[in-house]
This record gives sequence, structure tokens and C-alpha cells, in this order.
Amino acid sequence: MIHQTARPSPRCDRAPVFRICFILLLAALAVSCAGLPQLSPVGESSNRDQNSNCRDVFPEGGWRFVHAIETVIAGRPAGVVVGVTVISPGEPAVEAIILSIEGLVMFHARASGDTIDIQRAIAQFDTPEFASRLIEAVSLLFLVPAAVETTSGLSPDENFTCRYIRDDASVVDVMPGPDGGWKIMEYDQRAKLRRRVKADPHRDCPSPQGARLPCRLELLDTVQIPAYTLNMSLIEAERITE
Amino acid sequence: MSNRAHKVLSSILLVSCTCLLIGWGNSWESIRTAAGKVTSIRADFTQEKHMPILQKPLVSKGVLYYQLPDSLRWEYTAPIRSILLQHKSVSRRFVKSQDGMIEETGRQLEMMQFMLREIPLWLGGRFNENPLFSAERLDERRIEMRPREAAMTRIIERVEVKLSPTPGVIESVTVHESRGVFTRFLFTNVRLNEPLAESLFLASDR
Repeated sequence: MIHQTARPSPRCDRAPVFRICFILLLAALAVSCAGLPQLSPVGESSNRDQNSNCRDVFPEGGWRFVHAIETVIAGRPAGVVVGVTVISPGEPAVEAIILSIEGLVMFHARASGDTIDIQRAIAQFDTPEFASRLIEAVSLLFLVPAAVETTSGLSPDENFTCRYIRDDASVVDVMPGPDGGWKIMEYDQRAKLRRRVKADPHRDCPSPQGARLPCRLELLDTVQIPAYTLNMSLIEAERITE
Repeated sequence: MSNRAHKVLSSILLVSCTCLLIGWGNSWESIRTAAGKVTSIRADFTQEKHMPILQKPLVSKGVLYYQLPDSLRWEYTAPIRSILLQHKSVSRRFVKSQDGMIEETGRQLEMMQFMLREIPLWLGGRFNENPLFSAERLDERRIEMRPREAAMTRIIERVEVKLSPTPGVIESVTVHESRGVFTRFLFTNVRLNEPLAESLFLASDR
């Protein structure tokens, strides 16, 4: 039997070097913890059904939505505006308008492909960063992610997940819930959470033509510092039939 | 929200509520005279937002109360409940959130300060003395106001006030932002010079 006595690494037996080793160890742990949630495989037939459920998260066809949007920053409500969103999945294109409660248009932009056409933006809403972030968020909410690769499986907490990997290596996980609610997680290229969307189960909402639309959406955005949450309550929904 | 946006929002409210004081007349003097006879207003309002992108306007409803010299309650009842209060030089605004009625703070308060400065001008019927808008009587029932500053025309093109055939009452105020984009306030059940409880203008009544 061979016995081996544990000895400290000769490279770590001095205090400064030990500290570096410790930091490297912590960094390695942090990297491993920040990875995307692992997806474990599910049966093929179940996979097919659940993938269909993932697509049901996103409204089919053209829609016009009106939401009351409450902004919460650091746990404190910061104000309420009205949001009008027009979705044209065929192009695909989105149009986003922010109105004050008094009806003043504070922001209006239309995005198609990589182009954002800002039609109106008054101060505080007039930076290109705001426009691009808003369009990103709206697209995340209402459009099936444009992906170069898709996969699916069970997340560590046993939720079926459709994973969309974009061409820039960012990732969108879509998790339909059993009760009509759902969750969307968006990660950047380093697997850091950018946005999270949660939809309440469908209840009594204005949903014309039998569509099932979430009454409430909660969007957590960590891209901007400080992070903020948008609580969106559906006021009107109208299918576009042009 | 920016100062300019606050000014614009304030102007919308000011135009909408204080124009209710306009008396019947075809001169600035007669308007000022009629305004001087009004001490309080209570009215329902319907706000219609028109945009080319909308097949039908977005409609909000509410009620306003005004008591001279400076007490205002501008309350939306649907679809988003919101209350703007002004009383004894103190202005506050509340809006319904998922946690109930919350008070908006910070920059929103700048709008209230602006209203305090502007309301006396409008109440006095002194449209043509307003530093932000120039006013013109288009005919006996219509007054048009345009921003004096070019920068503000990027936000509001013009405001049109339509007087009711009934003296002292107006039909509507329309705020034009750009081509095809406008907000129309329609006033109904206007009652003048009725006593209004002070509690209407206090934050405890919300």
C-alpha cells in the first residue's frame, strides 16, 4: 500500500502566492457557476409537444397591444406610463410607443431587421441606447427568437425549456408553464442573465378572437444599471388583419 | 422626465381644465370678464388619443375639480387610475400601481411647480399673455394656441380650444403633436360655481 502524505504545493506555500491561488480558485468556481443551466434530455414525443408549447408563448400573427407599464427601480415604484406595441412577425417588425398617462407621445420607434427608425423621442427617451434596449426588450417579449441553433430539454428545476442560440452566441431560454404562465430568460455570451420575463397564467383578460394572452408580464432588465423591473398590465389587445 | 416634457404635460392639463372657465365672447377682454365670474368647476372628461398606428383611439376617462384660487384635482378613473392634486401651493401626484396608489416623486414634481406658475394666467383668461403659448381667436368658438419656442414645437404643434354654445362651457381641447397624432379632451357634465369640499384636493381623499 502506498501512502502519500499530503503536502502543500510548493507554489502556494508563501502568503502572496497563496492568495493568488485562492483568488484563481474562486474565479474558477464563479465561472463554473455562471454557466447556462444544463438541459437534460426528454423523450422525443414529449419533446415535440413541448416545443409546440414554446411557440405558443409568442402571439401568432400581427397584434397591437396596449399595456399599463409600471417601472420599479431598486424595489421602489418609479412611475407609470402607457405602452403601445405593434407586432408584425411576418417581416419581422415591432413598433413601440411610450405615452404619458395624459397622452403625450414620449417615444415612438419602429424596428425591422437591424434598422431602428426613431420617429419621436423626447428627453430622457432620446438616446440610441434607450431605443435599442427597448426594441430588444419588446422583441424578447413578443417575437420568437431568431436563432442559428435550437435545442430543448429539462432545466435543473425540471421545467421544460426551449433554448434558442443566436448568431452572437447569446441565448434565450423559453419555459412554458403547465398553467398557462411562462418564463423567458435571456443570457449574454458569457451566460450572464440579461433579462427575465414572467407571465402570469391566463386569466380574465381582453383577448379577442379566442387568443390566450397573459394579463400581466414582469420584465426584469439587468442590462441597465441599476436594474429595473417593468410590470405590464394588459389594457387592450387587437389582432391586426390588414 | 425632462423639464420640457413636464412643461408640455402641464400645458395639456392647463389648457384642458382652465379653458373651462372661458366665457362666451369674441375678444380677449370678454373672455377675461367671463373667467372672472367663475369660482369653481366640476366636469367629467374623456381623453382620446389618436395616432395613425391605432385603428381606434385610446380612450381614458376621468373627472376634474377646480376651485379658485389654486386648487385642482385632475383624476383619471380608467384605464389607469391617477390623481393630480394641487392645493395651497402644494402639488402631488398619485398613480395606481400593483401595490396600490403610490405617490410619484422626483422630476414629476417639477411639473406641479410649473402648473403653480402658469395657472393664474389661464384662470384670468390671459391667453395672450402666456409666456409659453401665443393665442389666436380663429372664430367665435375656437381659440388656437401655438408654442412660442421653436424647441417646444417639436413636442406640441398647436392646441385648439372649442367653445360650447353654452356660455362658460367648452366642448373640447385638442392637443396636436404631429401630423395625425393628437389628444382630444371632451368635457361633459360641466358644472360651474358649485361648492367643492376641500377634502377633494387633499391626499387623504384618493
